[in-house]
Amino acid sequence: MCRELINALVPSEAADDIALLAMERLRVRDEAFRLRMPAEPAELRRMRRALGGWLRGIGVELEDTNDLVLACAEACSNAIRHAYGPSAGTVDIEARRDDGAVEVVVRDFGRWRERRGRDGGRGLALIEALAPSMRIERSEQGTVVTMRRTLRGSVSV
Amino acid sequence: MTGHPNVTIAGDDGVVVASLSGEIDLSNAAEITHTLLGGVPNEALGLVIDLSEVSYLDSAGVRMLAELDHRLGWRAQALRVVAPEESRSRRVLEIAGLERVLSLDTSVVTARSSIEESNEEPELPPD
Repeated sequence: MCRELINALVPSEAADDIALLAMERLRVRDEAFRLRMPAEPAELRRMRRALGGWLRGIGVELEDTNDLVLACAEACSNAIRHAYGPSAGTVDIEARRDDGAVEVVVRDFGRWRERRGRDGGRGLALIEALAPSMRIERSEQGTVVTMRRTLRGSVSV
Repeated sequence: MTGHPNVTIAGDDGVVVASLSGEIDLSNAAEITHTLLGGVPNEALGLVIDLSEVSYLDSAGVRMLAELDHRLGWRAQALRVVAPEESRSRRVLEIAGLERVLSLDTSVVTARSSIEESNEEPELPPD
């Protein structure tokens, strides 16, 4: 392609060497975020720091970051409260950027007991407000909560 | 009453002001609730909870405020919550729909005077 361009652009006798550099823009793929946390309330803070740091690191704006961290924390809190008995298990968090959106997936390996304690629905209502395309898949293996949020100030590369 | 690192309680004129700070989540909301309830004497007119210095709040904090509102309500003690405009706590309370249930203020001064003024209103005669 470079040779053809030079032939087309430059008269047959050039006074000096000519170099033409052609570049193709490749879509940058971010490393996905992965964290496995013990299903303990005291671990939530560390998860928030880690996810928030990752989001800021890939250039997500502060408000989007705060909302995504909050949505993820709600899903993790639900898993901690509902998925396991007192001998707690683990919660897996995965996040990736997908064009102008971020998808966060929270997975537990227990079985949610419905409505333990009061106000069980507050966390889910918050997630729905922050990431409207939230979906929950329950199976024998556990529960997967997938949250996706379109970024406000997204810069697509 | 036991203290809590996230709670500073001050009170005069019958209104207790509790300033919260740091992060409130599932790991500490129950203890903070306990500390706050322990900080409100029976003769207090009400409680102002100042969230101005709270850097993180989620549904655990929302549940905490709803619970406090409920418990103080039994004793006819007022609860007002200070959450500055544009603050993160304000946003969370609004998303959670709590601004329809709780009395939100933007400063401790207005929150405190609201409680004091409502106490000065003449009592309604009994039915």
